[in-house]
Amino acid sequence: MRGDAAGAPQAPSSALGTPRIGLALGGGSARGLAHIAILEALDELGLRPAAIAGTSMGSICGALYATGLTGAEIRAGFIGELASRAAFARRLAGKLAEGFSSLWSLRSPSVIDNVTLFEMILPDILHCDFAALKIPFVAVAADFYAIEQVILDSGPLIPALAASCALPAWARPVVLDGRVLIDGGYVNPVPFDVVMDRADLTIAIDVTGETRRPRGAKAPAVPPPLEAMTGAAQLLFHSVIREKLKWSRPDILIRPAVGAFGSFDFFRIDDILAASAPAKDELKRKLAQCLEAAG
Amino acid sequence: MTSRSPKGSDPSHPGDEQSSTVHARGLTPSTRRPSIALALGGGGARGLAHILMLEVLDELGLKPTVIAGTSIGAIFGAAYASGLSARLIRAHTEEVLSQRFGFAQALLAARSEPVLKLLNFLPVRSSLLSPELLLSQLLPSKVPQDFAGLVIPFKAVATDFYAQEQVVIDTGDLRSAVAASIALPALFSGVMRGDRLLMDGGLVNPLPFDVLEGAADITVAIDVTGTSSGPRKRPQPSPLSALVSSSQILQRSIVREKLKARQPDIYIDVDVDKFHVLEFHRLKEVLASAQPAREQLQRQLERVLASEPAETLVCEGDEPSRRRYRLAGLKRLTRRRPA
Repeated sequence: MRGDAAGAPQAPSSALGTPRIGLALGGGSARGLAHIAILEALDELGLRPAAIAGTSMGSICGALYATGLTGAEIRAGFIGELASRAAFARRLAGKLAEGFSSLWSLRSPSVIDNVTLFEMILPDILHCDFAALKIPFVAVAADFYAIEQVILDSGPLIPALAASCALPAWARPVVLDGRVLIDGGYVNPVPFDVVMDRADLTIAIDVTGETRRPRGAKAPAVPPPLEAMTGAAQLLFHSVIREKLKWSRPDILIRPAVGAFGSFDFFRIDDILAASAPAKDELKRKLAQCLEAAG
Repeated sequence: MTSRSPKGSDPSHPGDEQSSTVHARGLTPSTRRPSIALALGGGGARGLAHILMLEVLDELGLKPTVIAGTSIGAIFGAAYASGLSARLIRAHTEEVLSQRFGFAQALLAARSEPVLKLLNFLPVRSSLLSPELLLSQLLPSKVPQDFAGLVIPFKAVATDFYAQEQVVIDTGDLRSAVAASIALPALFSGVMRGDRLLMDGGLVNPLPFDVLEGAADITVAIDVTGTSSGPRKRPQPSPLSALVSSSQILQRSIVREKLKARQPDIYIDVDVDKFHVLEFHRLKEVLASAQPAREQLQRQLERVLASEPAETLVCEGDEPSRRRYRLAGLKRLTRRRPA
C-alpha cells in the first residue's frame, strides 16, 4: 500500500508500435457490471492492457480481468452467480452455515463486514496476492480520516477489494495497515489518472450513471427524501469527475448508459449488459481510431 | 471601508477588468489598493469560521468588490454584502445560536407545511425543513429582499437538482437564492426558482472561487470543507458517522480536484476538521479552531496591500501535464514565495 503513485510497478514494455493501454474502471455498484462489456471489447480487439486501476465495482472487474480471465468468462461467472436471487441466497446461507458467521457484527448489525462477504462470494481465483496477477493492477480506496486517495497494489487481494468497495452505510470501513479505508469512489470515482503514467493510451470507464432529467420534464417539484439523497450522492460523484476532467483527460472516456439502474440492481445483470452494448461498440470504434492514428 | 477601487474593477463592467488585473499582478507600486473577490465555501457549521475572515477584511479596511458564497458561505456572504459589519454579523450569530432553544424552535417552525402534506404518507416527512422559512428566522433583518438592495455585488451558488448543474444567482429575490444554496437534500426541501428545483450549491461547487474569475485583482477563497469529521484515535467510525461524513468527503474531493486545475490567489484551508456539519452549537470552538486561519488570511492580505505577491498555491511537479496527478493530496499543494 502506498499513499500515492510512488514506486509503481512498471508495466511490461510494449511491442514495437503498439501503445501500452491503461484501463481505468470506475465505481458504480451494480452499474459497474457494464465493465464486463468493456472487457469483452478489449478481448475482441485482441488488446491486453498494460495496467489496470479499479475503484469499487471497477476494482472487482479489474482484478478478475487481471487474473487472465477473458471478458466472456467473467460474464459467464457473474451471470452464474446472479442468475437467481434465490440460488444466490441459498449459497450465501450455505457458506454462513460453514462457519462464516461474522458477516454482521453484534455491535453494528446494520452494516456488513465486506472482507468476510468477499471471502465468501468472490471466486477462488481472486484469493491470491496482487503479485500473482498477470496484468499489473491497483485498487483505489479512500482514507476515511485523512480524506485522501490510497492506492492498494500489494498483499492479499480480497481485503484490498473489500476496502475499495466499502460503501459507507452498507459496509463497515476496512482497516489496512492502520488506515481506515472506505470506498474509493469518494476520492476518485474513475481512476484514470492512476494509470496514466504507465500507459500510452488511457481508457476510462465511468459507470456512475447519468441521471439528469431534461429541464421541464415531468418531475416532482420536491423529490422524495430517498431520491433526494441518492440524487445528491450522484451529483457529488459527478462533480468530482467533472473537476478532475478540467486538469486531466483520458484518451478515451466511455460512459455506458446505465443511469437507469439502481446501485443494488445486481440481479438485473442481463439488462445492464444489454444497456452497455452501445458503449462496447463505441469503445471498439474509438480504440480502432486511436490505434490507426498511432500507426 | 472606502477602498472601492476606481473604474476597472467594478464587476458590473467585466470587460474593463483585464488591464487592472495585469497591473496589480505585475506588482508595480500601485496608486490604489488591489480589488478583492471573496469566495466563501460551504461546510455546514464549519462555515461559522467565515465570521473571522470577514473580521479581517473589516480590520484592514478591505471591502470586497464582489462576493460568492455556497451554502453557509452564501448566508454570511449575503449578510456581509448587505453592508453589515463583521462584528454585527458575529453578534447576530451568537445571539441566534446561544438561544439553543430558540434555534431549535426556528428549525421546527421552518417545517414546510405544503411539503408535509405532499409526503404525508412517508414517515420521514418531518425531516424536511423549508430553508426559506428557516432563513427568515436566521438572517439579520437588514439583509434586503432583493440582490438590487445589496451594497456589494453577490453571487449565490446553488445546484439545479434535476439538470445536475451549477446555477449562479445574482439577481432577483435574494432570500430564495440563499435558501436554495443551503438546501441540503434530505434535510431541507428544495427551492423552486422559475422552473428549476434548486438545492445545496455544495453538491457542485463547495468552494466557488472560479465563479469570480477575472472579477478582481485578487481572489480569496475560504475553504471550510475540513479534512475529516472524527478523532483519529478511534479506529472505526460508527456507520452513522461514516454516512454523514461521506458527503463531506466528496465535497473535499471536489475542492481538491478543482485546486489541481486552478488556484485562487489566496487559499485559506480552515482547520475545522473536528466539527460535524450540523454542530452549530459549537460556535465558540469553531471560532477558536479557525484562529490560525484568520491570522493566515491577515498575513496574506497584508502582503497584498504592501504590493507584495500573496504566497500562492502551486502544484508540485506540475511541469509535464501528465504527471499532475501526483499531487493527490492537498498536502502536496505547497506554498511558493516568488523570488
